[in-house]
Amino acid sequence: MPVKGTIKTGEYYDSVTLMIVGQRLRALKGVIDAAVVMGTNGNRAILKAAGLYLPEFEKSGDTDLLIGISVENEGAADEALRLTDSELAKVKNKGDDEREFRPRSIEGAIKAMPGANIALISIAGRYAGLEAERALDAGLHVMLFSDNVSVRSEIELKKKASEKGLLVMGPDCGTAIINGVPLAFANVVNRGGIGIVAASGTGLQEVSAIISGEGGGVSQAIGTGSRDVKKDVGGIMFLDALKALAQDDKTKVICLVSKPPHEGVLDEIARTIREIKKPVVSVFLGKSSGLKVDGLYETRTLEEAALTAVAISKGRDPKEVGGYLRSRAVETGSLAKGLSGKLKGRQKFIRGLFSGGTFCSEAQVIFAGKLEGIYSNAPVGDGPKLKNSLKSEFNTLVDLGEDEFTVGRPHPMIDYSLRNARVLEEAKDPETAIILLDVVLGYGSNMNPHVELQPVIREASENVLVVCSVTGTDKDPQRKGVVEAALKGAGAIVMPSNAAACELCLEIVEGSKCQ
Amino acid sequence: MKLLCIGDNVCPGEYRLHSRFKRAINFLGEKGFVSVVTREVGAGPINVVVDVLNPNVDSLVVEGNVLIFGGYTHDATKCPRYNSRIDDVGTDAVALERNLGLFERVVLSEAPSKSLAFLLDDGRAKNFSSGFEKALLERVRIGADKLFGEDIVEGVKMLRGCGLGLTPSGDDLIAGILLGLNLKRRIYGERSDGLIARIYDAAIGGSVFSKALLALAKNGQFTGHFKRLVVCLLGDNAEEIAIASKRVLSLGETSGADTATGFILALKRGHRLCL
Repeated sequence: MPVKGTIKTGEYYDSVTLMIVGQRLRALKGVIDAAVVMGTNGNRAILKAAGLYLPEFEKSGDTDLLIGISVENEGAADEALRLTDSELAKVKNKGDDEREFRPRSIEGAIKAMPGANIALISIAGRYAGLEAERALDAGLHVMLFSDNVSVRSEIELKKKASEKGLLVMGPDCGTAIINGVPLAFANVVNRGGIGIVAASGTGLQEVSAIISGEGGGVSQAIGTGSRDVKKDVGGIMFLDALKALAQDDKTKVICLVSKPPHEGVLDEIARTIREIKKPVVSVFLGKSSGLKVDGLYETRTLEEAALTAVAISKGRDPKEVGGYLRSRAVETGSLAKGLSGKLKGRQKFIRGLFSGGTFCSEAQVIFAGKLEGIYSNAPVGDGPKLKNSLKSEFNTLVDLGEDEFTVGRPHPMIDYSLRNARVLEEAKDPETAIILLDVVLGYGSNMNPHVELQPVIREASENVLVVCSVTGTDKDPQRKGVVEAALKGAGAIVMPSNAAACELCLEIVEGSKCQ
Repeated sequence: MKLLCIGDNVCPGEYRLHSRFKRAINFLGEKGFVSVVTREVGAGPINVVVDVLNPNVDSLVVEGNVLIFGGYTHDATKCPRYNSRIDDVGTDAVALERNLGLFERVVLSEAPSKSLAFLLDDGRAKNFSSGFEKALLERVRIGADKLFGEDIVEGVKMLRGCGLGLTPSGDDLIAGILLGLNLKRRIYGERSDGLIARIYDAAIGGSVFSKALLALAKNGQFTGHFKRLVVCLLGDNAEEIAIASKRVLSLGETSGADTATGFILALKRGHRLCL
C-alpha cells in the first residue's frame, strides 16, 4: 500500500489535537492507517515499525510534525492531506480568534454585547452566586451551570429574580433551550408549541428529543436546577417558569419534569395549574402527585410525558398514548423471550451504567417492586446504597455523573473511558445478565459516541446482553440515526427511550427465571 | 492578568514565545523555559500561575520581583513562591507502601485508554488499535523491560521521544521514573545520584521542552499537583489520595497518567535498577 505524508516545521499542537486528527484520518475512506506525531527519534522508529515512514522523515527533528498515511490509492492520500491541513488550521485559527477582546466581568461582557439578555455562568461555585447577582442587577436572565452554590444563595438569587421578572436557571443547571437555542448540554430539536419546565437536565433532554422525534416541537425548555422543587427553595423558579409559559403565545401545551417536588411546592403547582387555561403534562418521577386538577395529565415516565404532550399538541386524544405503550409492551415481551434464551447459568442481574442521573432515577422507579435487590450509588427514596460505587452488588444502577466519578475528570457524557472500562468489567462477571446504558447526544456531549462504544459493546456482547437507548435527534451533531445503527451493528439492543430499555430489561430477567 | 504563584525555577531573563495552548503559554530563554499557566495546570517549578491567561502575551521578561508580559509590568513582590522540592514533606515509608496500592488502583481505573498505564496492567494494551499505537506499545514494552532488566541505557533510549504531544508519552514516563527515584532517595536514604544521572543522560537528546521537563524531574522538582499527591501518599487519608491522584491524572491528555505510571514503576521496581 502506498504511504504518503508530509512534514510541518515548527508547529506545536497538544496531544488531544494530534490524537483527534489521527482518528479522523483513519476514519476516511481509503485510508488504512495514519499517525500525526512529533519527529523524535523514538517516533520515527515507531513510524517505521508501523509502516508509515517516508524517506524524507529522516531529516526531520524533534520540533517537526510528521504526518504518515497509508492509503489504498492516491485520491485518498490527497483528501487525507487536505483534511490534515484544514483540521490543524482550525486549531491555529481558534488560537488567533482568542486574540479578540475577552471580557473579564459581567459588566465588560454587557458592554461587548449590549443586546444580550441572558448570562450563562460556569465558574467555581463559591464565586458564581456573586456573578449571578451582578447579572440580575444588570437585567439579565441567568443560567447557572455552576454547582456548589449554597442553598441560601440560591434562594436569595431566585427571590431577587422573581421580583424583577427574570429567570435563574440553576444552580447545577446543565440544560436549557431558549428561543430555539440549545444552551450547555442540549439537543437540536424542532421548534413548536410545547413548553417544558424541568428540574432535571437529562429529563429535559429526553423529553425534548422525543417530542421532536415524534413530530412535535419545543417553544422553550427552561431548566431550574434540581433543588428548586425541594422544601427550602420552594419551587420559586419552577412556578415562575410555569407562569411564563402560561402567558407565552407560542406555547400551547406545558410539560413539567422533575423528581417528586416537596408537598408544599406541589400544592403551589396545583394552584397555578388551576389558573392556567393550557393543558399541562407532568412527570414527577417516582411518585404520583395525587393532584386532581382539570387539564393536568400525569404520566409515569419521561417518554410517556413527551408522547402525551405531542398527542395533545396535535389535537389527538392523550389516552391513545396508553394504548400505544400497552401494545408496545406486547412486542417488548416477544423480543425479551428470544433474548432471555441467550442467558446462561448464573446470569441474572441488571447492571445499569448511566451518564444521566435522571435516567438512573427513572430506572430505579421502573424496577421498584418488580426486581429485588436494586442497589445504587444515588438511590431513590429508601433504596439501598452501594457500599462501594466501583463494585456492583446484585442489580446495580450507577450514576456515573456523581462526584466520586467526576472529580478531576470530564463528565461521563463527554469522556466514556471510565464507563467503557466498567462495561467490560461487568461483562466478565458471571452473574451479569444485562448491561443497560444511556447514550446522550447533543451539544456538550461526546462527539463520537458510537466510535468509542462499538468495540466495547462488541466485546461485552460476547458474554452479556447490552441494552441501550439513545437520547437525541438526527439534527444533533452526532446524528441519532447514525449512532443507533452503529450500536446495533456492534450487537447492542437499542430501544426508543430509557423507559423502553428498562422495560425490556425487566421482561428479559423475568423471562429467564421461567426457564 | 493577576499573578497567583511563581515557581522556584523561574529565572531572570528575557524569554520569547515558544508555543501556545489553551491553558499554557510556553516561553524559551537562555536559561530555559517559563510557562505561564492557568489555575487548572497549577504551580510548578517553571510555572507562573495567573488568574486569566491573556492570549495576546508573546513576550516575557523576568527581572528580580518584576515580570513583564507583553509590555505590561506586574509586581511580583507579594506573589507567593512555589517550592517544588520535596525536602519539606514527610518520610513515612510505611504510609507510602500502604498507600501506593490505592494510587495505582486509581490510575488503573481513571487513566486515559491510550496512556502508558498498560505497563501496570497489560489488559489495557487492547486499547491500542492503530498501526502506530501497536508499534508504540511494543516499543514501550521492550524499553521498559530493558530499563528494569539488564540495560538501563538501552531501555531509556527506546522510551524517549515516543508518543504524541509536545512532551511525548515516553518522556513523561521517564520523568515519572526520575521523580519516583527522588522520592525513594528521600524516604529510604538511597544513594541513587549516579543512577538518576545515568537515566537522565540517556533520556535527553530530544526537544528542548522535553529536556527541560526531564532536568526538573532529575533534580527532584515536582509540579504542585504531584507534590500534593506525594504529601497525601505519606499521610493516611484515602479520600485525599484519591482526589490528588485524579488531579494528577487530569494533566494533559495522557501526560499525567504517563508520569504517574513511571512514578509507580520506580517505587515498585526501582530496586531492580542497577548501574
